[in-house]
Amino acid sequence: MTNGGQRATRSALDAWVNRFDLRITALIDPAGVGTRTLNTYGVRESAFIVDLSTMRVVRRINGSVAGIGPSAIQQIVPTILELLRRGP
Amino acid sequence: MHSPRWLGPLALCAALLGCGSTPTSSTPAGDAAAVDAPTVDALAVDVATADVAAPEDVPADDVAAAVDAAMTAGPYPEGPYGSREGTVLANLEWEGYVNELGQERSTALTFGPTSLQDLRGDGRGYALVHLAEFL
Repeated sequence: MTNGGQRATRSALDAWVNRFDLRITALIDPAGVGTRTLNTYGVRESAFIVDLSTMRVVRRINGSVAGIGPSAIQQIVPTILELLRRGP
Repeated sequence: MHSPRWLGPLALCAALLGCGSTPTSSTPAGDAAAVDAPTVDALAVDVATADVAAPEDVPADDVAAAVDAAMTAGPYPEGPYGSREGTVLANLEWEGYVNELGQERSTALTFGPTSLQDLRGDGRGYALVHLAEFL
């Protein structure tokens, strides 16, 4: 995650996790690399499904940066549930 | 996230428990079968006797030489990398909270370094990656 277009700090990550009571893996860029994730993967609010055997992007959805409409997560969750249902 | 792969083991457990349940039939035939069945204690003695000879059949060397199945993915796939569908997502390093079980708030876990390669696990299944921004 980033923080207002800058590298997110640990305190920002903690605030985000605590605000939404997140129970998922939550990460930020390490110090010294700037906004590397933003520069490499793209802008928020985007969601990817990755095949862990090949690390290929199976599905990518870009949500609205303005927060309009269903989020990328809302749109992509049915797809990953279907993939998990099918199995490897 | 709960994988449906758990359904197999759960179904198997249910079947085994069913075998051990007490018959509920009230027919005379059901009662007769219950009387003729060996008691639990008798079965336990039979099993214990059979187990005594079993360890001698397994050479200790074989146990020591057994190789565990790989529990980690192989090397990270080669590029070229990208973030569009069909491309290989680049292996990045991060720091934060790795919450594998989802049973507690992530900030209750240890803050530390990780990478996409670390998060691949055994290389099976799928990962959901979400890019967010704290405003």
